Amino acid sequence: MDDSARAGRPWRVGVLFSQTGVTSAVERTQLQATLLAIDEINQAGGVLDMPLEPVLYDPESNPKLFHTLAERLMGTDRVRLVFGCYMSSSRKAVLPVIESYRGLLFYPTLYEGFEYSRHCIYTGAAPNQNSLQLARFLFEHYGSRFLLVGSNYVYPYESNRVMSDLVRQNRGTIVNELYVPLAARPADFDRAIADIKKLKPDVIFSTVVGKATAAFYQAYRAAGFDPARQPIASLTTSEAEVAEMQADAAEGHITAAPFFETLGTATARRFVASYKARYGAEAPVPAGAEAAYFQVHLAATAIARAGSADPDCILPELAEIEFAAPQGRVRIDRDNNHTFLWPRVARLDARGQFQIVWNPNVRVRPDPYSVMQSLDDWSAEGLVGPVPIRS
Amino acid sequence: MSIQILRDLRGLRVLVIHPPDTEGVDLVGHLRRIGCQVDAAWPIPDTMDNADVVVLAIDHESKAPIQRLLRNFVGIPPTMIAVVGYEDPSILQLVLEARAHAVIERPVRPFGLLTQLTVARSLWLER
Repeated sequence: MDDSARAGRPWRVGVLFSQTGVTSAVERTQLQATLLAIDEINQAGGVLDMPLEPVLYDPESNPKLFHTLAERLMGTDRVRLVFGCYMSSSRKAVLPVIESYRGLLFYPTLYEGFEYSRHCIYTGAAPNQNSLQLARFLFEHYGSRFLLVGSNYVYPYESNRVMSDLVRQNRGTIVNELYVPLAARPADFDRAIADIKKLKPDVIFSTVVGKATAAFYQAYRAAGFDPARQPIASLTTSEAEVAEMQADAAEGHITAAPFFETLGTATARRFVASYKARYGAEAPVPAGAEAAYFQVHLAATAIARAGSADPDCILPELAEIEFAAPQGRVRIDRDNNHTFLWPRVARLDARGQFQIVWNPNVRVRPDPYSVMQSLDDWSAEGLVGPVPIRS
Repeated sequence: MSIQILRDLRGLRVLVIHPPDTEGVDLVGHLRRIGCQVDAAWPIPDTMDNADVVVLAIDHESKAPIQRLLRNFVGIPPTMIAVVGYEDPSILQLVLEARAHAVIERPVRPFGLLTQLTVARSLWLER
């Protein structure tokens, strides 16, 4: 690709986010944020006077299709850099292809950790950058009897293991752990609703992803539970999933993420305004979109510094760049290819907007191989020790 | 499998006996990423004291020093993980002589190392 650019051609990059299928609501925001960043870069003159040119496909929330399209991007389209993937199953399907072509995948989604590939840059949260903070907030404000409800795939299992560990450290109880199909329909939540009635947990920790999220929150609402005392807490219920819910289903529920649309810093407001100017005032802007946005800017800066889009050349540059992302300044950790991020906790209000209820304002180093998260020493960069919860 | 084994992996003293080439550097880097305390040694040392786990590159050329290292050892042997690039009988014999609990094949890559380390440690605890 660097050769074609030198010959006066654009920098072609692959983009793989689903526009259809179970997780298309959030993946569409990641696609749009990617294209927004590409346009910003091109309008400012491109990278070394050459524009970025996206090559897009729709993998339809289907890991097999992700694999096939990654093969087409690398083999036929001759692209080396790919922005994409939401579910871990899609990342696992794409990465072997990227590795065999010595490419680089930019993955803008929180996930369960325990992975490192030299050929992947992880810009979403690892468990030590969201689960820990969410757990502390929940223990402080609601209690430590948890019921776990998740979609049936890898991320919920591992995320629930981390949460169970934290609950036990706090001498709490996991009253039950249930899984529903990825494409769950409302009736699939009957069992969970019955268990919540019977077992009366303090918190329902949801690792349900995609379209089923709205069905779950609506079923919870219809059953008459009170989210002010007994919320659903999640790492995957973002602005995109809330936008698919009926108006009254969201209020009172809790999510932890490094970015919320309502963050309100100057950089965050600028990003949200540009996004909405382009995609509509009602368009949700979740953390996954923010990561998709800043990772394109990181990649472009690295290409400019390296004078090449060869992954071997841009990897060392990526570790040198500090970028003023909408969530705050971010940086890639050279040891593990994950990103230093800013954990926050927010509660949904009556209008379905996230109001930030805990913002410790610290940037946390990624620790993807942390087996046991310790409640007492979640550590920011250079800052170790308990951080007071403010609401 | 007990999750306790995974917790204990963090802080394990791992001695990597491997040439300091790209694969050796990657191996040390990934063990550190997992959270182990890693020392590297090359050429093959005479002893492997003070290591909880030894990751040992086994190839034909280093047969004699490997056998010397194994012969010299007294006490409770560490968890042993062999790194191999061939699987001919003479390499396999060395793998058995080293009483390896797990084997990593070349080319070394990050995926799978945590699994081998966990299985090896679990077998070592049983022995």
